[in-house]
Amino acid sequence: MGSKEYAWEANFERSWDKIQEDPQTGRLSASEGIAQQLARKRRRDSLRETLRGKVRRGMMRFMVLALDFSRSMNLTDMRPSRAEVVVGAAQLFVREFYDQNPISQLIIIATRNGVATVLSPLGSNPVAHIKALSDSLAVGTFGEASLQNLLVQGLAILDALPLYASREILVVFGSIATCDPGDVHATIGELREKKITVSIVCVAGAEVYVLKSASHETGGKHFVPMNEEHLHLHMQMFLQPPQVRADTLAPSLIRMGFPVLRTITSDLPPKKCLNDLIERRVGYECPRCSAWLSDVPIECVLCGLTLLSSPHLARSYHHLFPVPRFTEKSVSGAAEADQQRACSACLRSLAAGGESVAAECPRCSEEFCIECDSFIHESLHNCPGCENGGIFMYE
Amino acid sequence: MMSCELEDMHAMNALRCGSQRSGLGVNGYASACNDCTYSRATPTSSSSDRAAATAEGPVFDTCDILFESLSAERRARICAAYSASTCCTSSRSRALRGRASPARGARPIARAAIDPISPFDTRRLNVVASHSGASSMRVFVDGVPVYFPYEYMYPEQYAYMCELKRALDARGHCVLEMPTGTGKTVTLLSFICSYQLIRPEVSKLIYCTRTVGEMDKVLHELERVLQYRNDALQRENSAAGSSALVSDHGVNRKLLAVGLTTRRNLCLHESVVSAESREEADSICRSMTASWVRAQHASESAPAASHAPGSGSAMEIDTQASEAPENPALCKYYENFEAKGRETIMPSGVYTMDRLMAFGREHQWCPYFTARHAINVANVVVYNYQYLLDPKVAGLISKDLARESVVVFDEAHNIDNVCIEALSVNIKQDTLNRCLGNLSTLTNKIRETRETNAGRLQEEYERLVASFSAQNLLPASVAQNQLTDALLASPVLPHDLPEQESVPGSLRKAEHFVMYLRRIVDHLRRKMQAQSVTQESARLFTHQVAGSLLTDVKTLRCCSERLKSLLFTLEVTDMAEYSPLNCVADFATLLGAYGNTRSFGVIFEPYDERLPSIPDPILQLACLDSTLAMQPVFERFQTVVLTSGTLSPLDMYSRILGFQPVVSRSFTMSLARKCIAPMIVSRGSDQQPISSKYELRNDAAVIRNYGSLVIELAAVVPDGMVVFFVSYIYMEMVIQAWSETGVLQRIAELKLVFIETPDTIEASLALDNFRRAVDQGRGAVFFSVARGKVAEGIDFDQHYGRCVVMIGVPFQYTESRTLRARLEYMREVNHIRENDYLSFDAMRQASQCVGRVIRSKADYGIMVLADKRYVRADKKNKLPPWILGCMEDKLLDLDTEMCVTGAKQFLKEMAQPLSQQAQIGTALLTEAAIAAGAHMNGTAARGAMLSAPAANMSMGLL
Repeated sequence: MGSKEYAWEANFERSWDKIQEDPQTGRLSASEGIAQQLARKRRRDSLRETLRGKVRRGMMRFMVLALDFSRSMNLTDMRPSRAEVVVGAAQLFVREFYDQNPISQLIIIATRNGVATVLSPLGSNPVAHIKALSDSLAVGTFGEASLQNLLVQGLAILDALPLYASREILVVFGSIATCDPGDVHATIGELREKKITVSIVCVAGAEVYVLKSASHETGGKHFVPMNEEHLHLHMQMFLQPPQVRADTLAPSLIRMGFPVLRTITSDLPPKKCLNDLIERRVGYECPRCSAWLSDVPIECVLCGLTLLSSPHLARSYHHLFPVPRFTEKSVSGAAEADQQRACSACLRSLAAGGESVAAECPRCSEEFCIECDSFIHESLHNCPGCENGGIFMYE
Repeated sequence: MMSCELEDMHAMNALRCGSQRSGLGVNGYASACNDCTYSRATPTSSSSDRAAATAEGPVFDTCDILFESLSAERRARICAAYSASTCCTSSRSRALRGRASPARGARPIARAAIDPISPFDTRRLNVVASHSGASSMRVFVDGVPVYFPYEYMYPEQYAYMCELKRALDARGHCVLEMPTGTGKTVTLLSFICSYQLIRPEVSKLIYCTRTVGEMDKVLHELERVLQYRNDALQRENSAAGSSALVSDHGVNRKLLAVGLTTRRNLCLHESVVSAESREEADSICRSMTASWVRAQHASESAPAASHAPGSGSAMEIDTQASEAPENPALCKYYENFEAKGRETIMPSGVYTMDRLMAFGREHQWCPYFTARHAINVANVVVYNYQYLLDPKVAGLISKDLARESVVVFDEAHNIDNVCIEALSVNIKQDTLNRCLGNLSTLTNKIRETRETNAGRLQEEYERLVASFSAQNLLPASVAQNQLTDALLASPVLPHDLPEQESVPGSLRKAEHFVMYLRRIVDHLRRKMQAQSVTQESARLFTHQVAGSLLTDVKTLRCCSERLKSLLFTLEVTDMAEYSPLNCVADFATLLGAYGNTRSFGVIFEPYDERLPSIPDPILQLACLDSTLAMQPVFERFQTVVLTSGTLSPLDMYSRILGFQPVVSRSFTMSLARKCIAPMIVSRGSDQQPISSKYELRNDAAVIRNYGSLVIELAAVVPDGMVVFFVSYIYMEMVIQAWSETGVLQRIAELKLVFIETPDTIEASLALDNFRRAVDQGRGAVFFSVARGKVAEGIDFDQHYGRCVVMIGVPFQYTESRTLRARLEYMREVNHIRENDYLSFDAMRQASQCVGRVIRSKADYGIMVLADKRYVRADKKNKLPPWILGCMEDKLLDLDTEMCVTGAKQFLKEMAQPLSQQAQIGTALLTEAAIAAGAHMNGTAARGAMLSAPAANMSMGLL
């Protein structure tokens, strides 16, 4: 048991102390303390380390995000409730998922009252997914959860999709039991045969045997987050595409279309977009069948061609060549030399807050502050020092 | 650079890793292959190998991760390659290991193994540590080279061996407590088998278990131990030319190990296999194999059976021994055994039950009698407690075992009760009624025999007149040579019978003896008509009997032997039928033998205390002295080892069994993380004390509080959960109250509810469904009873038991007369206070119950002791140290909410992945680390654990 076992034994949380005024701009921001940031960096790094390696990663992913909306999500061990926290994390995840995996697609299903339903269909519109999540939360969390129904639903969806993409189910489960119509292990076996990976984040705060065996059998991952932050961290791990399973198809070329954004001049009537049946003047035309579509990336409704733009492809690329882990160096405010050291990204002094820690890129040896380190690893996926110094990132 | 070979090896490692994750592995595994390109940082890999490995690091990284994506056929290929490669690997690396014996080069080897290593190497070690497989180590325990069939050893196993060595060297007895799941069995077996090598005079290991399942498990473990030991010896032999060790005692390497159990489990004959009960099976067997039956058939078909008994060398056994006459009335397997098996010696090896059956089938020999015959020559015998403790069986089976044997009682925490049961006799009304039936059949039989074959009775009479000893009244030829007649031996311990004593004249004639028995039965029947409870000393009762039957003590004492002789003379095969009469004869014999001591009490109860409305008279001749049955074992064998997961407090056993152990120690479990969470809940959610104490038993508030404890735990504990009650009656009462107040429904919403019943079939069905519910993820809770079948023998390992709740303190039923008598005896003779014994007994039951939840180090579980009385030092301190050690002060006196909060926290922590690396050095020791530890301390770590600096050093280096 940890030392902070009970609420009354934990240190009182002074949330107002976190708000700090920037001395230059006078803006208020709720920044994390350096220690917390550092701890977060270390946790992230160590977790990344376990997933790292020179492996083939598929860039096209089809993911079923399966959520638990059963009674047990009402519990308040995460505030305000498990359901709200999970939906919040899922919304963040959806946004980042599309950001980092532009040519991948997501579908959201949920279980409540013993059955599984599709909340938001397969598509590449994060906004629709996020809205569907909020709507579903408003319906409420009740009844039992059924893992098997979720898996069967996910299996039915993914089975129809092509084998060249990685097909995953990510379950966020909050119950310690599952109420199933049949043998859940048979379903797990079927998933394994169909080469669908099941990963599970169990927010119930305990390791549940079926969940663990489902992820273990299908080659997925299994996490039990300790708290909300831990949950976010674990969810982030699934933003990175999984390694390619050698038992799926051999690498092959996939036909893709790169449509150009076109505007219909005002003298012509707007065309109806085939994907959502709304008339638009600005849209994309499928290079193969000339279907009028509202947005990319998308699978052409008419001819089934995958349509996307080249930046999408480029954005997916960073997973294959991640920014290396930055090494930590201590900076003491006392030494004269240290006073001069500044973060090479944001140019702020590294020793501003007295004792501090800097992160150094092992390739370009530039130093960054911890905040920039997080930004580089979590959002930017490029090291500014390396790019600047002309060190080719993909060497 | 990345050859296919390398990649495959990696895949294998990941495969091993996987098996560990699924909780299969207990001990570590490693093997280094010195001649293929692949190498790992094992203790044996040389530094150049390691350098190469480091250089190849990144490549490994990649393919390690690639593994899981290998295609199915690839995996199959890998597995095949794996099995092939282990042979090559193990033989070479072990040869190397054999040469670099720790005594000569301990330090350098240690350094090679635990040098600061690159990240790659570290990961190799993880993989290595995480697997249990066919690899192994050889360590020196205080100078004894021990062949240990796993790559890693727990520190407590090492300490256990040190203590065992001390006891064996001193030729004394020892009491050793080691937590379940730390590999007691393998430690014992590998140490004793290795010890036999250097001290060949320790010829035999007698391993006593409680159940047949345990027996088979021991034999399987032994198979593995010996396989490694023999492999290692062979290599040493070939490597070092003729090592003195091996050539001196080469004979010892041929080791024979057999397990013995009842005929029903070890029979090939169809009619016996299909028998419904053990007694029936025995009877059927006897009806086909008894000497007179065989003699009769032999005379009928004399010309056919003209074959001489098997001749030739021991190892030459005909596989087709079908010459014996196929007589349906006889058992052909036994006939074949009789013809051939007796003179031949079984080939050495470990005979598990399956292998014994296969051996029997192959040679067409009866496996049971083969085993019976083999235990006298075997080096390792595994069988039930009864075969050694119950004088009736022991006299028959174990009487020829050598003094130089080492006797091990596994799971010995209830051994005093076994001893007492072995010498106690219970007589019910029904027994006496059936006795009368027995007696009339006997009378008829005697009359018949008189008419048809009077000579036989006369012969018996003459034999009895001539006999000088009442110990064995059977003809000498029978006693010598007859396994099958199997009339039970005397219920009295052999040394309590006088040497020279002839059968009293009044019993010599068959008719007179039957009359005498009838008088005893009548007397007992009169006795049982009483309406009130009586309790008297055996002395008083004996004199009463002697007075009213006009007989003397000596005559009583001869009953059992005389009955045996009579049944033999009358050629009775169905012993089961005469069991009531046997029971009465035993009663009389025990009275006669021990009537003048204080060790027995005679208790009569006209009805069960708990069900006073139902008349159920029972007359008990209760043995009060547990030393009685145990004493001869201690005296006869040079070393007796009592071991179990729960033997605390250790000194209690030496007192109640009356012996002086040379070593008594309790070991704790060395853990990289605390995987048990013992908690004492003393208050309910309303802060009222909870207890199963008699005054509070019916208190609605207490029952409600227990209910809410179970509900709240069921809501946070995943998968399986077990709740133990103190007794069936209490369980019924509580469950009924729960069902009325809706508690049960609320539990059922969270988990399926299963309840143990006294009925075995029902209980096992419930257990089966419980496991299914847990496997399916529905979650289930099992309501069970302390001292029940489930509490003693069923494991709730891994997800089957994530939490166990002990409701109340499982005291024995203190109103029981037998218990009272025994307590009184213990107070007067052993100077043990009633309360001390009662709480000792309750606590050993409680720790057995809560111990069900953890069966290995990879396992974890919550143990909740829910009674305010557990907080008191006299109860709490009687818990085994491995449980107490995990019990922090803040977990001592909890209410329901605090308990649930603690449980949540614990479960969350346990769900985090455990790095194997952290275990090496604390919970796992490498061969080199042990060698280094021994080296540092001069003599092997005398203390229990590796001394702290040694452990730290290996930690630091790792």
